[in-house]
Amino acid sequence: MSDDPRSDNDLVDAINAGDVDAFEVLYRRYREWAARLARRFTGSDDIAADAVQDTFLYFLRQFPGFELRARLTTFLYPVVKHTAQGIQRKARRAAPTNVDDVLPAIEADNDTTVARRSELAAVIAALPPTQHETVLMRFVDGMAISEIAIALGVPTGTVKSRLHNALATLREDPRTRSYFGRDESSQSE
Amino acid sequence: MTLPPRQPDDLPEQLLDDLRALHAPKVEVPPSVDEHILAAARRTLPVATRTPWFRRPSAWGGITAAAAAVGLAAVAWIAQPGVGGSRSTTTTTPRPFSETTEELALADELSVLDRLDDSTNETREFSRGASIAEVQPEADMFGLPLASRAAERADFADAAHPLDYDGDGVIDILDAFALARTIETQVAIEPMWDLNGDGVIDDDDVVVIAQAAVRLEPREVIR
Repeated sequence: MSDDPRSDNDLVDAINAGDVDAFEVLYRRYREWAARLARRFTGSDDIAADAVQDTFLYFLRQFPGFELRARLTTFLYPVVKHTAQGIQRKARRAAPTNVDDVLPAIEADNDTTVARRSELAAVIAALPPTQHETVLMRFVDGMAISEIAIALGVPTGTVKSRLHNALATLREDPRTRSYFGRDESSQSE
Repeated sequence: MTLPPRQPDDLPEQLLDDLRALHAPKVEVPPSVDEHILAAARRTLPVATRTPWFRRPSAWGGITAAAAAVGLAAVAWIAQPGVGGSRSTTTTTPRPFSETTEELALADELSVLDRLDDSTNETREFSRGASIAEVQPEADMFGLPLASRAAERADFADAAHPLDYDGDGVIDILDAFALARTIETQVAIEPMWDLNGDGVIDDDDVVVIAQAAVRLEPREVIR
């Protein structure tokens, strides 16, 4: 099912014609991406599962008549984000959660990698929220700059500016500059 | 002169790997979620793919024709002598019902002239300004039989209405305002809001909602 060779556009056309199997293919193609994204915003696997469910039920309601004019992730990104954050707001009202819950879990084979990733996680978490989000969309989700601009509703220049500033921070921060081949001793010269 | 930001596609490989390891962990979707979503798809997709009334070109053509006919009838009624006083009209007799909205619109135009000859050459007179529902009780203003409209409403009972932009369950002018505001703020808008299908989400799509909101029927409460 996940090896279906049809493009997203072909699948959307089939769904518009009432093909339930095509919807299942598209769902399985993007459900894990949606779950990862929802977890990124909430830090909770349970909320992520709820967000996936609500997102794809919303997506289902767009048929018939849905037209895919960009990548599906561009359409789904704001839906997942707002759905996940909405569920989290309701959950927090019921039971306040620790802010640290949204930090990524750090798993690695050795202590050096754990330490390096911990430093990176700290620097990324300290970025302004808009830069933080844009960096992850670009480098973790692999979205093009134009797709990020559409998904966030901002001009492409703004996306580039956010990426530029975020990477400048990563290059200059002592905890992450080694990624760029610049250790602290070379920086102090 | 300010140079544009450098394209940031040259991230070190290790930084990319670490970013993805931190922020792209595998998240299992419970089978119950799969089952719920796919059951909903099986339940709704074959039904929903029947073309809804608002996407039928003939429906919008019918709206325009019906609106024009009502306008003509109103103008003629106002212009005639003795408006406001008693009129010598015969009792309205139900006429054979038209099958299409175009025929309804034509019939209304003829009613402006006060006379309509049917196939039996019997002359009938219609009261001016009669509502479409009075003239054609078996069909709605879109020319669809009322029974099928009711069935379509049932089919789409679980779906968000395509013109209910603010999601409050009512199609009104506030939906048009909300869409206009969103367009002005350049926030990303889902493609579904390209209501006139011209490939651009702009003021013309706002007009589509506004026209639906201010039509002569009572507001449609969709849930």
